[in-house]
Amino acid sequence: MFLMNNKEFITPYGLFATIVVTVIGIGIFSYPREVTDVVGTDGWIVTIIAGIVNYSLLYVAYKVVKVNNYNKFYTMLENNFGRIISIILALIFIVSNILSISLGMRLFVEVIKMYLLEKTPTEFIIIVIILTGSYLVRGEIDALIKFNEISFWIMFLPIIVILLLILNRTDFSNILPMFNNSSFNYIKGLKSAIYSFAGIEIIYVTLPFLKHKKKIPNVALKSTVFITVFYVIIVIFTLAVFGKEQNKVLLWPTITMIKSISIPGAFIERWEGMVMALWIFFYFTTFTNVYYLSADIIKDMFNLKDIKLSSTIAVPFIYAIALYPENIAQLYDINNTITPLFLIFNLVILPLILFLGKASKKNKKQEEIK
Amino acid sequence: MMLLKRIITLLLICILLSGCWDKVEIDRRSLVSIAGIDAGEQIGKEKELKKLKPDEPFTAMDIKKFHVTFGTPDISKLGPGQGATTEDIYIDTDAYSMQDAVSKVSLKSSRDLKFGNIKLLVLSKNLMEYPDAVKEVIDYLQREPSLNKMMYVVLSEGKAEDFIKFKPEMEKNIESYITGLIENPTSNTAILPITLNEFLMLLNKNGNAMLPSIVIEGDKKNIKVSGVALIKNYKLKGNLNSIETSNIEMLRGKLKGGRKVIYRNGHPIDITIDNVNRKISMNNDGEKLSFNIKINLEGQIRDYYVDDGLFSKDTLKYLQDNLNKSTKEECEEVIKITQHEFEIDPIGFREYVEKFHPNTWKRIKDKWEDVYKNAVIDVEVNSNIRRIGVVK
Repeated sequence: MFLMNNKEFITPYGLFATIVVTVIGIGIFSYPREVTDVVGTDGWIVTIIAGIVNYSLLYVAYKVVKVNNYNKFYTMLENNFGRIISIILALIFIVSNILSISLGMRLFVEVIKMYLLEKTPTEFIIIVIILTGSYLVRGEIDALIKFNEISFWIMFLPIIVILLLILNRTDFSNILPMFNNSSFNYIKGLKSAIYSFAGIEIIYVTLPFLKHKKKIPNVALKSTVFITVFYVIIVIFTLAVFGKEQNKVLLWPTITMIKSISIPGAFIERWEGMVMALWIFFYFTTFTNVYYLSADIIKDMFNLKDIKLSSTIAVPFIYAIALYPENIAQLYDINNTITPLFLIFNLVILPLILFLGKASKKNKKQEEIK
Repeated sequence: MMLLKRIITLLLICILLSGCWDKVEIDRRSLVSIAGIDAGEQIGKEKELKKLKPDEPFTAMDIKKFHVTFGTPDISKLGPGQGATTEDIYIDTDAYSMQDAVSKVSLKSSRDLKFGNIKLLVLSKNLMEYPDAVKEVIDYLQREPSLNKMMYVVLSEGKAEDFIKFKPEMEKNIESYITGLIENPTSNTAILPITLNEFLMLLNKNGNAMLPSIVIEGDKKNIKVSGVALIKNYKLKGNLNSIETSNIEMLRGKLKGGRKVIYRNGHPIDITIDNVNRKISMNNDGEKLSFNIKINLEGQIRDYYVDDGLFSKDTLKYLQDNLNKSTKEECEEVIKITQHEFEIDPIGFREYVEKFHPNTWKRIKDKWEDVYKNAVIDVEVNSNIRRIGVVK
């Protein structure tokens, strides 16, 4: 074991890839339905606004880490609030992250069962994903970042090709009319749009190890723009392929869209099996990154020697929570009730109190000096 | 320790690599390639079914609401040097729902049936008389993830089963024949290819859709596409013949090619159309809407008469004017039929208003049916005959 605290090894590209692959997860399957449901054809506008909001959240989080001298997340808490309060705050943070990846896991398994492995038991798929995920997490953060860097290309190159293949069955006039909603609807739509950016808290674990710290705002901007553009493209494409009425009915418009490609004269006829295998990456990267984040904080919290033990502690919880919802409707229900609460805590309240806590301490110090 | 590790590895291999739940050997599998849905004998009994409460044990398991026929290629006849298609094997069953049909058919089959490769879905005309039953079928088609959303959907005049069991002369099975007809670029001017995806989209918009309809010709030797069936609120409303179909296609701006004929001095002049451009505009004064459709045609002359030439600006101008007039009349005729007789909107005025005039749409949304019935629709055709072949 080498001491990683002394090592700054993450490149700006590594940070970019990590943010992108963590944020873009299984939410992308249902995202077009969620926004179309509320704002109809204006989903892409809402997405852009959500992108801007999320950039500011990301920026605040960056500022927080910066004023705390790029300390690790738990150290940051402890320096500011002392041991007991920081344990409580960290626990809420961990619980929310574990909950979100576990419910995401169940959702992902439901999708896989629907399209790929119809008869394979849910429990088995979950165990396999957890095992592979924890294997990667045990490889420590440098392995994880490398994995993200590679996954980024594996995920997005094929998607671009697929989107090109869809082009011939699109009718882009379906995104009309524009700006045709009440402002209340936009705000409502913005709600679900912002949730789909959950996962940006991953920067708490990556920033301390970053090589060129000056480039962070730039990288944050780039990754937010990338995510936003990707979401916008998906929303526009699903609208162009299905129209808004069909988009509201389909549970997972993105998957159905990709299933509806047929390449004339191609040697593979039904190739969505391949595409479904590709989706596994979308979930898996989200899972491993957030899993690492939680395991890392557990490690610091209990002063454990390495992440192997703390990542194992999380496993039974993930498994149990993933199996808890009884059906897909309940799953979405739970997800929609708890995600907003935790998201507000993780991305708004926690950074703010960290920021303010630091600021007030500075003031105190200055007063003492006087 | 080493030994323990080895044992664990062996155990893991046994557990993880041997059990595969979704495994089906290819020779135990049968790929369904065509499906036909007919109305069953007892389809009219929907009222009795409505009396059933959700918590009642469902005793009437053998209600014959649908009659479903599946065709699968006879894989045993496939082999090297025997071509890529074979004759089909048919399985049919009566059922009270689509899923019931699927399970009943599986009981009759020695192989594991896979429904993901269906190429053609035939809905029979008499099924389309029962909108509630159609809605059940549509929901199944929409909900089932394994179905191929790019399959073609056609409507059969007569029992769907007869069509599926039909042996065409050109191909070994009916689905290659009909998909061939639909995909063939020279014949598809009068065929409106509708995939399941498009069909569901159209129905989800407002319950209206169009399907190509097929008939068996009198001598039972041939199947041909007879035009389009118009569906309103999940119910068959009427038919258009193939000329009307190609005009509708032209008005929708989807026509890829076509043919028009003008008579001059008693001789037909065939003009093939290579390119169509359509533009809708709308005028909105008070309660009444008036639409204007502008169509630009480009075409070339294919045949005429030896003793007369066409190589002059004026003749072509004269032909173009006549073509404009006759096309305009044909189009207005179709619009009249769809607008007043069937009261459906295959051209997409509704969508047009919704997309491009959202404010007007908000105002008339609730009384669209009336507004559409009373709308004035003008067609303006501008044709260009670009080429006349290689003689004067």
